[in-house]
Amino acid sequence: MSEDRRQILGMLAEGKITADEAERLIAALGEPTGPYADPRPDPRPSRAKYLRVVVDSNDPSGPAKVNVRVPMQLLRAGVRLSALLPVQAREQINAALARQGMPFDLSQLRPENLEDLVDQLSDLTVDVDDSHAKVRVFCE
Amino acid sequence: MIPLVLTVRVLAQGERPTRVWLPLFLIWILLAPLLVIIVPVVMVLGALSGINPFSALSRLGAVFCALSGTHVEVEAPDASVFVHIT
Repeated sequence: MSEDRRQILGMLAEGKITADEAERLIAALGEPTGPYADPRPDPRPSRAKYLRVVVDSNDPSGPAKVNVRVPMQLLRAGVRLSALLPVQAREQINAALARQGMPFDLSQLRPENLEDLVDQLSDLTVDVDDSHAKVRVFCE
Repeated sequence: MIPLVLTVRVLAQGERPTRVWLPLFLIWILLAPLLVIIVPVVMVLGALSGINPFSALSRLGAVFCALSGTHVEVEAPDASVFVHIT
């Protein structure tokens, strides 16, 4: 409970203000009122809408900048689309990923795990600072 | 929301700049009649490859709809590319 809310309820208890006035004051604070109002803050952070990749390079050949914004919804749709891949294609992709040092099984990517995966991505932040380049991957 | 406008800008050193502003909503309207042809083709291909055609269509549609908001901007010393889908 915030200090302002506590003061208003204190004034109401002391009879300095009426219940209607207290309700109006609490509403003006922008806090929820009523018997079902949850005084605890929402533990879920607001969901990220975009995955951003920002690269700022100062290569000797010349400066370069990359700014990419991918909607999270596109990631979700893409993962759902991957479930349609034929088994043979999936095996070939798995083998290619393994050859590149990423032993990842695409068949393990199930729609029921998708929301968790994207939610975890929301907390992702990658910062790479190099003498020639700066890379940032984050969600917003 | 379906993508409505595609903006593409390509600037390359020594070449004429290319700017494209594509009203995708007009293209969707023009392509709508073609769905009569595309849907049966997808059905047949799906049946041949063992993929549920309804699922394939809905998921492809979801990918197209999710494209809205995509932004790609690359600036290099000799060229720059800007793609934005609204």
